[in-house]
Amino acid sequence: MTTTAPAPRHGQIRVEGEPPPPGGSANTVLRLYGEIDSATTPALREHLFAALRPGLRLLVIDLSGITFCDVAGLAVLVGTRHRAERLGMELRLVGPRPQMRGTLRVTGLERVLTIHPTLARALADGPGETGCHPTPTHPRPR
Amino acid sequence: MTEEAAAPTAGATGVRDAVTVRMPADSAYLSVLRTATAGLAARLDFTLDEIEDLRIGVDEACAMLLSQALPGTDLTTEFELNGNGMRVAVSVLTADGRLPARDTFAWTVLSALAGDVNAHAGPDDRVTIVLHKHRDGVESA
Repeated sequence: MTTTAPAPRHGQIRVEGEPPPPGGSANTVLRLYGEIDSATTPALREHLFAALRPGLRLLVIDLSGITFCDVAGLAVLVGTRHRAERLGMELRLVGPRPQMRGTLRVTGLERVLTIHPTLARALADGPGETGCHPTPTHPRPR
Repeated sequence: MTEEAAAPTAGATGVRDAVTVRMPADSAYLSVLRTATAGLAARLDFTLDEIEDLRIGVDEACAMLLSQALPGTDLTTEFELNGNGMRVAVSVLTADGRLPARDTFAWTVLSALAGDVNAHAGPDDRVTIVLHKHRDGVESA
């Protein structure tokens, strides 16, 4: 059941999805809404880093609700990926809109980050090192 | 600004279509400036893609300058709309008049999407980045 919370106010960002409980799911899906710029990146970085909990194998970030993302925002995504790699986890991004795709292309970061067109595709590929697990497609309610 | 100037040939009315926005040199105001940029660009015949390019260009230029702006000062953005497109000059007062580095992702995005880009420093260590986004014709990439 997806909640239809109002869009975040201008220049703000909202993160939906809960990290799984300890020993719970190996996958987490976070959905981002709003605008990512140097004003919103500190809070975003904190959210994303907090999602990299022990036991996690795959973090999927759904970007389809992001209406603007600048280089400061891309830096947070790259930083999250590096941190995930060090922890033996995988980061996949889903569905950036045209504005964000343009920035990813111009910077060449589209080749550094793993980007899937849809959430279904990102989850269908299964965790990188292990076999294909059935994966929950929505975040757990608290 | 005049309502009539929304006609494609703003120059024909004799009104100089120029707008200056001054706001605190703080990233909290970036989204306001992006909105102003999109609104002004819509007065010209920019495509939606070009308006997006301008929004990201102005955002990146400001973000670069904000990192070296003197605390408590303003960020000034001057928009000038003409027959060729839009010229945007963003400036802040700095401690040393250092120009933004060009070997960054931010400068890459700026120069790839926002048309002609230049930076200069004034005698009072005010650093300015100027973008000139042309309408139609002159395509980047």
